[in-house]
Amino acid sequence: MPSANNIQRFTRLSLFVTMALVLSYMERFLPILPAFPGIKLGLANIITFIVLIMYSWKDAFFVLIARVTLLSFFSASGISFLYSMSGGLMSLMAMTFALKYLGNTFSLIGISVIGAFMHNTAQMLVLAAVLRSFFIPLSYYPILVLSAVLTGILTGYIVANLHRHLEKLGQS
Amino acid sequence: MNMMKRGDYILIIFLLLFAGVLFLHNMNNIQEKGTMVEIRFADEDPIYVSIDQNTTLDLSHGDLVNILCIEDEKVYMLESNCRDQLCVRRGEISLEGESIVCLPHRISIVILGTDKGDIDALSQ
Repeated sequence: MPSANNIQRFTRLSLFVTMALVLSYMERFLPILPAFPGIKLGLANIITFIVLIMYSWKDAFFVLIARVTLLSFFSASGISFLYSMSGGLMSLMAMTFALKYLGNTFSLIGISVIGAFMHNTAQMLVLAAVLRSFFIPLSYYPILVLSAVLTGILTGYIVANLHRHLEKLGQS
Repeated sequence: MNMMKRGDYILIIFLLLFAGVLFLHNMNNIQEKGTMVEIRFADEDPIYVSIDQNTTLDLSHGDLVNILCIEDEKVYMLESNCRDQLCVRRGEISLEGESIVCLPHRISIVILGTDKGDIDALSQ
């Protein structure tokens, strides 16, 4: 039988999935740089990260899987699904680990940068596997690392502020 | 941003240096005009075409249409029916190490220099 707690949890998770979906979808309307395909802000990661901080890695895992799967219905392409999923899972694993064991060394911004870096590293490996070549992914990797630092700082900054305000709300 | 810790700065500087070193390393390969064009489709054996002939190549496989042009030692994707059109928008490439990728159709095009063996060893 679903308890009140369970219902509350599922409602909360559905809301987070919705927010993540909207952020992912909205991001497509931002201009892309033709010279650097695949560079995104990764705004949906804000949701994954905030769920990871405030609830658990299980909840964050659920939100991530639901978001990536549902988003692939909007644009059916096997490779982009593989891409988002591998990047998302790698990033979540890294952030869970960093939050648990490296919380004293890094702030939320640093942990977000680690997540973005691992995300783009996973995508580079998938690109290498898809193209059966290391040459192209490797020549593209420096730009991916640079973009991971910039977008990681941005999403980390948003998450840190969001978290601070949500904590205040919780106390009052 | 007073909320950042010292570890963050070290991490960011380290990653930027890492990207910079990789970039410089790659820049050493990209300088001269290329001589050969390597065309790969999925895990099939690559095709090699000389860059100094003017030609139009039909790389289509079934429903996946890709037309590649080699013109005046420049290579560009003339047409593709892929979803994102990134390969077409990539424009012209002519230097060694530059590439065009059509990810939805699993096609990659790289320009090679004279030392083909070197790059092949790297891509294995």
